[in-house]
Amino acid sequence: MTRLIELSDVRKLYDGGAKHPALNGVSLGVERGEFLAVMGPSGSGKSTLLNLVAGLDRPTSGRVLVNGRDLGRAGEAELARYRRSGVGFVFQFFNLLGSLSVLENVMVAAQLAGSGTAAARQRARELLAQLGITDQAARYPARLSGGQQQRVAIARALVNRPLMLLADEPTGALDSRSGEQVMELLVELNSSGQTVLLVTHDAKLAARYAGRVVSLVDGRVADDVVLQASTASPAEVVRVRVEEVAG
Amino acid sequence: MNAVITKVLGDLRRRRLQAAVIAFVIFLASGTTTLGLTLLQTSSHPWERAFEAQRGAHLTVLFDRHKVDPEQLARTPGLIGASQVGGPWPWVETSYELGAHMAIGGGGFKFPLITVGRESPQADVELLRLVAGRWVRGPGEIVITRSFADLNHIRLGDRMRSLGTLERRALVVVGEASDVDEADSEFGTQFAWVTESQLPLLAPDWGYKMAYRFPYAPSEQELRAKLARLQMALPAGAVLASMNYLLLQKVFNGGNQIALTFFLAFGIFALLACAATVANLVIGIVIANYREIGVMKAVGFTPLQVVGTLVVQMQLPTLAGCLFGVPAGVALSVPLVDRETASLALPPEPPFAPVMALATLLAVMTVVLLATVVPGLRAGRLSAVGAISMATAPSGGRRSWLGSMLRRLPLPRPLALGAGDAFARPLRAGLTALAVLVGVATLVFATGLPASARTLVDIAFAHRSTDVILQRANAYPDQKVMATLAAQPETALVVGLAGAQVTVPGVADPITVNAYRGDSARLGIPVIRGRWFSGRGEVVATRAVLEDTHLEVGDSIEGLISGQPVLLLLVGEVFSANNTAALLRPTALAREMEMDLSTLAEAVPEAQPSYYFVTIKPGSDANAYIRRIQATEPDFLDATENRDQTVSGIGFLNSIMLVLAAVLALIAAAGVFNTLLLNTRERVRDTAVLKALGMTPAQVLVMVAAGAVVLGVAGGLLGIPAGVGVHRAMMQGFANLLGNDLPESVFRVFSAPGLLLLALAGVAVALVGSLLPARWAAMTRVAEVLHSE
Ligand SMILES: Nc1ncnc2c1ncn2[C@@H]1O[C@H](COP(=O)(O)OP(=O)(O)OP(=O)(O)O)[C@@H](O)[C@H]1O
Ligand SMILES: [Mg+2]
Repeated sequence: MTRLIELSDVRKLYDGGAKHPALNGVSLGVERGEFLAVMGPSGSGKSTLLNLVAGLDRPTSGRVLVNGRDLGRAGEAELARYRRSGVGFVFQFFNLLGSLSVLENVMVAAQLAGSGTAAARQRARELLAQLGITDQAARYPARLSGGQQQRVAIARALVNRPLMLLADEPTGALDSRSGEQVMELLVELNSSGQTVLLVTHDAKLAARYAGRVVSLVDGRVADDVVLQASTASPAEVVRVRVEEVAG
Repeated sequence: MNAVITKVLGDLRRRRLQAAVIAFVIFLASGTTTLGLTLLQTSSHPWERAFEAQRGAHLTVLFDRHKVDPEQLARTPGLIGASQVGGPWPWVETSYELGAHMAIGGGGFKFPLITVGRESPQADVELLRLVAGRWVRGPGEIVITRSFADLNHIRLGDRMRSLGTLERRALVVVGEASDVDEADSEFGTQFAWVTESQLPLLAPDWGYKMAYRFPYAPSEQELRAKLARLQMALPAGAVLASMNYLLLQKVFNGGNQIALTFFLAFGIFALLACAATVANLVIGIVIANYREIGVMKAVGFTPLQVVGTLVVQMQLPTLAGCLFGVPAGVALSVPLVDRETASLALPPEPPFAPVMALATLLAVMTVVLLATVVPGLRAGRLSAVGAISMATAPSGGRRSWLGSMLRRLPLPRPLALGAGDAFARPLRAGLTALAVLVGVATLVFATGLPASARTLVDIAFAHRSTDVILQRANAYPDQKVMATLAAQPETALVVGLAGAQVTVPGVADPITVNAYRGDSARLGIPVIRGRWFSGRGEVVATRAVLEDTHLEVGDSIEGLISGQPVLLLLVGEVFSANNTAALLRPTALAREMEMDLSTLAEAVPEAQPSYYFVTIKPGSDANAYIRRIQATEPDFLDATENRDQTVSGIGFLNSIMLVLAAVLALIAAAGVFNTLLLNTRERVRDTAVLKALGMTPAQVLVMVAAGAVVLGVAGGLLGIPAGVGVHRAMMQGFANLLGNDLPESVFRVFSAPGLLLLALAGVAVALVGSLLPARWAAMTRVAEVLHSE
């Protein structure tokens, strides 16, 4: 069985920045059920990497294979269909649709994927219950706290039972308490088999919750560490890295 | 101030597309408005100018030469207080044969003209302007009007033949004159001139014509009193007919008035649609600017400077649009104005009316100013933080009830979402729908008018059951005509028509009488109230007659025909059917009474028909029939097939209106384009999220288009009743001008499928407007949009 995600020698050049590729020869494999954190300084290419995996953008060269499918060769409509069922995306700023209620925000993703209204409502309610925001179902996003909004966004991302959950700085706009709750939610989902790709520049969070940490610097993979358990401390992450460099 | 200018220039550079939309809409709007206003200004004057320049007669009277002599006539000016007088001139109404057919003998085109004997175009009253050639000098010469010459392609040196006598005198056209009396040659009676001594030779039944001018412009009432005094002083039946200048003015301006009413309606429509679109555009830009307004204030712009920036930013493209639109409107009005002045042979008026251009400019700029200042002031008053937070506040903060409703429709998601988004800003949606509404209403109206005209023409040329209309020359007796018709095996029905005039107490102008011989009920002249007459003494009349005489159906009245009293029982109201002229020229011609020939014979025993409405047996060949009839007496019988007629005046009006309707549709499309552009730009983040969730580009396209469809349907559905209503109101006004009640069929020209099609045109217009914004939205780059947070 092939890997879930397989990046080989991926380069990404944006129109403007020809001299500095956002990704410069990244090769990376992700197995099903992994909890991978992508770390790195601002501008190192983390979001770019996630966008490529999500099928929101295409690599300039190299291949992005998901479940054996080459995303770089897929057409617009095919990518859209892939995003519906293959990917659940969680953004830093939630990006809920302001004109729809909480329940509708979750439902809309299921409806786009082709499920009927009744089935979509059923599934959305289940997820809201699972994430503990059932009582917010009829409200509109503008009235919700950041943490609540991010839960809605996660519910929306999960509604189609995606192959993987992609989260780009999901805690970036939250206070530390809400941030921890969101992370715990992700771990819980991961432990029930959900593949999770998390972008963060917070080493503490990565070390506490992720099973594997990939560090990007200037568009290259500088480091790729598998942690023993989710109880590893930040110091441990640093230690492993030092050992590797020394070895 | 420098800061304002820097900001304005920067904004315009960045918002090129919106500036272009403003300029384009303003271009269309100012063009249409200028066209309407220019026509309004120039069209109301030509007749009055010509009337003064040619010393037109306030009152023209035709006399029977057997009842009154020139000495008696010479005393009439003093009798009625006329200060200047023309005549007595001999006159006669007779047919002429003309055209190329003359050369090969017979069967040529015939036309009736009122010919007047005059030694000179100069006179104290009714000065004629010679526009080509020279005046008549002796036998065998004739001067015709320019419009008659134009219409029939007659040139100087061409020959015509009078059919008033058996010798058929040949006449050469030596000159063309213009005359205020003539109105437009397509309709109404035309005049021609020969020398005084030649006139009695043209036809035996000639009379005298007098033209009076008064030191002041008399009112309708005064003219009636004068005519009554004339009739009192002269032997009974001496006055055959009269024409007053107010009527002529109405005749000439009437046609214009109809056209003008239509143009004005269009102008108002166009202005409305433009105002809605422009207001929408400007408000949209202001709203989109809230964030920047906040930043501007934080940097130190005063509220006034903020508003000033917006105003200047809007007025620049507005000016640019007007710069092209106003001259375009003027250019378009040139042929229209020319058409009207040419029939009076007036020097073409320079159509450029600076006042109108300025008025248009001011009107357009004011609309734009108001649309900028109202939301601008609100933005200007906002605190810097308030404006920024208002801009960043999710659009959900101002949800509309209608939008939520539409979003919950049981439709595929993209459709429902798009439909709801269209109404996310109710004011914007309303204004856009209004623009579509106006476009559709105009379309309804513009297609309804020719259909109504068509119906009206059908009715007016009525005698739907008639296949052939025959006219005999005065010299050819009725018995022979009837004998010829009876000899044809195909002849099924012949109804003869004799003309006369009846004078009714309290009404100064004589009323036209159509007296029918035969089964006239079968002609199919529309009866609006009551019934068709059914024997001697019963009459039906047009509404104008009922109003003038204050009579109701069922009343009876004693009228004077050729000085003889006749008792008339009014049994119905009809639509004036005999005079095509009445169609476009609201005149006394619509003061019409229909009766049986036996009723007329009470007063004029020798009265005989001169027109014949012939129905032939089904399946017969009308053309062969006509050729055979014509062959029996080519000079004195004029047979024409009673087929569909085209009324070029209406056709012309119609094509202008279709152009205007197209312009309004374009404005509506621009309005939709603008609204969807603003909507999709405001929602670019939502669109990006939806795409991230897996919405395909095609679905985004459908979503945006769905919004357009909802706006189009709303505007289309409301535009239909609006258009039908305006159409009805216009036709009613038209009927009032005509002095006729119109049969209901003239109003009922719309079919349900036809209207549905027009409503769909509204949707189509909206879809056209949505094409680009939808494409742009479909191409939204998700990563980029979401990256720039
Ligand atoms: N749409 C774009 N057009 C041009 N350049 C881009 C675009 N998106 C990203 N970049 C550039 O590519 C590089 C990598 O950007 P990316 O967003 O992947 O970084 P990041 O690691 O997510 O940073 P951050 O932690 O700040 O979010 C940066 O130099 C950025 O300026
Ligand atoms: Mg990033």
